[in-house]
Amino acid sequence: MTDPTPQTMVVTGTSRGLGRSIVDYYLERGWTVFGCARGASDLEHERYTHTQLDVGDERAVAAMFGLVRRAEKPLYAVLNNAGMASMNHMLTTPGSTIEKLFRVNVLGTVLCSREAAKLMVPRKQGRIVNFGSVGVPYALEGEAAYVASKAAVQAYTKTIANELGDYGVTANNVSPNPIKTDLIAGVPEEKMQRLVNRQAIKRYGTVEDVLAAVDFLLAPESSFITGQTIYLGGP
Amino acid sequence: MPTPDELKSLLYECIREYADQTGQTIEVADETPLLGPDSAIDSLGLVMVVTAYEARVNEAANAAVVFANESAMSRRHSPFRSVEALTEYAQELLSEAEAS
Repeated sequence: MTDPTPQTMVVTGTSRGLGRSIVDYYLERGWTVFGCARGASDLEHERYTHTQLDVGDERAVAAMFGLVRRAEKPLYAVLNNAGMASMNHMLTTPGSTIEKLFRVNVLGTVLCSREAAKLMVPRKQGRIVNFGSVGVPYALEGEAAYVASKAAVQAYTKTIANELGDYGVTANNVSPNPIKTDLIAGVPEEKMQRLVNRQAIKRYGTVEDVLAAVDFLLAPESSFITGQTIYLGGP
Repeated sequence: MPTPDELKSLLYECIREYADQTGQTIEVADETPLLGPDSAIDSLGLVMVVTAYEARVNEAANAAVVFANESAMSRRHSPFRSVEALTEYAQELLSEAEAS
């Protein structure tokens, strides 16, 4: 397996956590990265362009991909990393929380996948990498809205893999197990440990684990791998 | 903003490219149907033509309009029905984007 040749990618949710680590990693390897997040980024790099936006805002997303198009650097990959979680029992989860969660996790992924595919299909080449969760196969209690949103992402990814298969564009999910990032900052350690203990390999995930899966999907040799979900830690 | 004629010729280009790619001969005129039984373009082909056209229009106008929107889909007369209708629709979207 060869390292993916540095090209151009879009990464969402890049202001901190996993998204920021992904950006740092691919910049170091020579990629040109267009990132976005609701907040500003303190990252300054000649090959990094940051857009402050809500991934659920259709116009803003289209405008960001317009920037990519005008940069005349063919888009090879989109990593739909932006996501939010909310731990709550289904009986006490407010509708507004569910709306917000689906807006970022589902609508954001759908809009960015669509705009990316518009740039990839004419070139008959591209990689869409979406982020699911091990919470889906575990039907993780206390995370019903989050799990439902990630299940939607996983189903969407499989379906668009079918729609894009003839155009040289692959779509896959990387579904991480718990990683110590802001996303799980509010979740009690005991609950996280119980979750980790359900995995085949009982440890927290790392950013490097996620990057290894992403690298694999971006590699030129992975052009025949599509519609798949990689569960890190192996439930 | 591109003129109506420029918008039309961008769409002509996209349809001709589609015809080349699919090995078809398509006579392109203002009234050329893009939808329905009289269209030489199948449903997936229309997706490709519209996507390519959207990119050309955005490039020419330095804009970021999205052709697929709910109001377009629910209109009694689809803006995707003919070359003329789609060109007018592109112009309408660009005017809206300019005004907002």
